[in-house]
Amino acid sequence: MLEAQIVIIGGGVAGAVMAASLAEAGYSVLVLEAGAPVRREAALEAWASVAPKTLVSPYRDRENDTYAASTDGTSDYLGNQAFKSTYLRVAGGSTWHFQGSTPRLLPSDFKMRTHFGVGVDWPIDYGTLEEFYSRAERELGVSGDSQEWNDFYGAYRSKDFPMPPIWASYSDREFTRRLGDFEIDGKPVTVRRTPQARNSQPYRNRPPCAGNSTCIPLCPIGAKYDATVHLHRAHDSGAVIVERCVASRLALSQTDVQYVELKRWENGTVRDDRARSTRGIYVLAAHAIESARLLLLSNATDRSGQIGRNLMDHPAGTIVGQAPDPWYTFRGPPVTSGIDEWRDGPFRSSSAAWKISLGNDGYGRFRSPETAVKNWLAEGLIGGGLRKKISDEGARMFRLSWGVEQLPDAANRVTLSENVDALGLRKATLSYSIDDYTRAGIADVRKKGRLLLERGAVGSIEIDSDPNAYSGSGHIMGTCRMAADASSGVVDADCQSFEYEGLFIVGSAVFPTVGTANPTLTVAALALRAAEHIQRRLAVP
Amino acid sequence: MTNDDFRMFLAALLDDDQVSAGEASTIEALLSAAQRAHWQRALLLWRCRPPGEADAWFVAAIWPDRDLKQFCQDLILTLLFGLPFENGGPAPTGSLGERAGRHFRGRFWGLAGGHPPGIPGGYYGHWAYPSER
Repeated sequence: MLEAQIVIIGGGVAGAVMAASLAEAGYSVLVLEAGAPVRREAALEAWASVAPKTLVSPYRDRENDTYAASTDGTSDYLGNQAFKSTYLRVAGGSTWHFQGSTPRLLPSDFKMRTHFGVGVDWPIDYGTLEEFYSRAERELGVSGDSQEWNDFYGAYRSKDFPMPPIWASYSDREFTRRLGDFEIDGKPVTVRRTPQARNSQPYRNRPPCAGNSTCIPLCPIGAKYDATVHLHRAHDSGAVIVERCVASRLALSQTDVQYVELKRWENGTVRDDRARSTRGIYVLAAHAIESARLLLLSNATDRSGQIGRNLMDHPAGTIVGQAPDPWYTFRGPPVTSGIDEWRDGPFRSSSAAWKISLGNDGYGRFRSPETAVKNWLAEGLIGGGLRKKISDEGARMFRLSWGVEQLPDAANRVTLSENVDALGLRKATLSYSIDDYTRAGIADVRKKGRLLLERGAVGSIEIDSDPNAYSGSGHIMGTCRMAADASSGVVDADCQSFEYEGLFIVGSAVFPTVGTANPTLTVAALALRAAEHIQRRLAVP
Repeated sequence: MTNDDFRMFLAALLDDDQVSAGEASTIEALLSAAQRAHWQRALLLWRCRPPGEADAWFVAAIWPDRDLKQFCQDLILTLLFGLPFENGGPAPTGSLGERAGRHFRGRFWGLAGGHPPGIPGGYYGHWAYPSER
């Protein structure tokens, strides 16, 4: 039996931030991580040496893939092709391969029902979370331009970003220069430098970004934040991190959690174990899909009927074209700037908000350099002709990537499959689709994206016209919604379960709505707020 | 078969006179038995090629043979991206570091005015300026 005052299930950003916060406050903390630890150097070598370079290639490990499987675009772990996003079950979680963009949600994102008559309201507002956003920016190490973002659609800032912004790329600057004073539907278009958890200067013993251009799938030098930063801090403050340890069931009484049942795997063997909180505090931070799955595996009481429901993502896509001059996009972080004007507005009563990122990696996921070369080879190019083609078109590849808001829909949900995984646990299975609200947003961003590229003198534009064609952003949200009362949600405004005393759920699982912000900063802010609540609670004898 | 034949063959595939004997040896050592047989056949044709434009010769003499075309295209992808052969090649050889090194030396990045993902650009903020190529 493993024991600590606080038991945290999941070693991704939510669990790690909370573990560091509580361990540094003097509490004994146990972190249970389903996957294995990752050694950065080995991951980089693995990624560089394999032919198919995917999001998960640095992290392939037969035993991890067996016992802590996750969706990777090729496995049938979740059995649903409509849901496109993937996640990583290793120590540090999906922050290993996240892009690093860390915008805040906007005030209206918290009050969608009030402002636009769609979705639901959060039980907290922007003002409640603002100080925790500031703290999260310092915790993760966020680079950004405070003046550029202060009061953006009402999102005021009480503190500056801890670091100046990452420099806008040459292609961003060329594109911005060509846009000039440009308006669409009477709205001036502004290119803003994206706030990001990536060091623009040495910060807390981590180096500044050196432009390795491989943030996705991993930063080779740790200039981009990943949750191992907080796992290490937690460990240094006495927390115990137990990897290769899958939480298989919460042993629940009528009112609280008794202990956690575990499957601990290593070297081909699996053994059962348990973990118990001596203060009755359990934190579920196992990702929107795995957290819901564990509650379902535990037959958790669900008076609201909301466990597993309202699974959301930011459906995403890419618009590509050829820049008028060489813009040399295969350099620097994948995104340094974006267009955020359409993240808010009255249109949100009928059409999803969206934002656009300017890419620094050629065509990005739309068409890898390897695929582009294979296409040119198929056209018969070789020798000097092929070199010229690469030199000319390769240096002019430019992309805009878009991500679109999605409303909560109870039919989009996580349930338990009849199939079991290698540990004998029922897998999660997903029901998921996008609705007309999101499709309207997709149509709008494609239309305006074309106008933007045309204004930027980008030619040979390629845009998918299929209204149902989208990819995932890796922003897996919803399934354990936060709400004002037990009849409409799974946790309260402090992330505490309505049903079980001392059970907290943190992470993007608790988002009632998702706006258009990449979720990591909000995840960290909510975790810090919940950690503070737990400290207050434990301080009472 | 001489290493210099293979080096010149590689150089012609990408019209790149910077292919060194060492690089040719490294790539040649990666060839599977089947690929060595492809190379033997390509070599016979290569030695009989008429003088003139190599690009046109590849298209006329090599491309009609599906196996040889695939073999040549794998060689090009290896020169450009340092990838292990994707089609019918042996398991990657060498240490992970060596294999990573081949990837980093891929020619695509330099041609496109970028740099290989996985190594630094040299100084902070280099991406904010035109490429130095």
